[in-house]
Amino acid sequence: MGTRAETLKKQVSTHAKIGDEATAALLEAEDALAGVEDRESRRASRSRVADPRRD
Amino acid sequence: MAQRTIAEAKALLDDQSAAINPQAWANLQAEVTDVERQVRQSALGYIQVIYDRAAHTTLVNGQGACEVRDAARVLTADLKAGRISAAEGAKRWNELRAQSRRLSAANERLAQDAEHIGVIEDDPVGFYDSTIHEKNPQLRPLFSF
Repeated sequence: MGTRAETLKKQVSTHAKIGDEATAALLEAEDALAGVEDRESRRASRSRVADPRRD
Repeated sequence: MAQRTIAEAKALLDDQSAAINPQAWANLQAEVTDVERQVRQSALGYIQVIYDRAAHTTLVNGQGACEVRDAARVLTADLKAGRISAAEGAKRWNELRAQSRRLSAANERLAQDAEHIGVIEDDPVGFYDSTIHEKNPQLRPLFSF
């Protein structure tokens, strides 16, 4: 394996690791998003119970 | 004069080595060596073009991956702190995921480029012979024998 191929492979590997970190961060954000959606949903339910005319 | 692949030319020289006088054989051998040098030079130029393009893409990809990672962390913090709505969070998350997928696909292509470059670096003459020369007779080197 020559030097250019090796250099490129190392860069690809480094970026793949950062990509894995990005994927992990996106999964964490997805969990946080699910939490917010759940809170908003419960809040909307409570509003409907408190004021049925809104439906 | 004949157009041959380099492998064919070398095989022919090997076959005829006993029948040709040493000086003539050395001249023909030098001809093959010269063609190999030219092909090696062409292969290195080809590799450099692929490498330069890939190196630029890796730079952009690396920055892009860092941006997605950092933006996803900020998004998580914004969501957990209640600074943004679920709709806004979903919009940002979808954009980041799409960007992440594009970068991942681009990185796959770069890995293929690296493999391709590696094959040529390992055997530039063999690569030219087996791809360009074998498939395109009109592009085969011209030999005096």
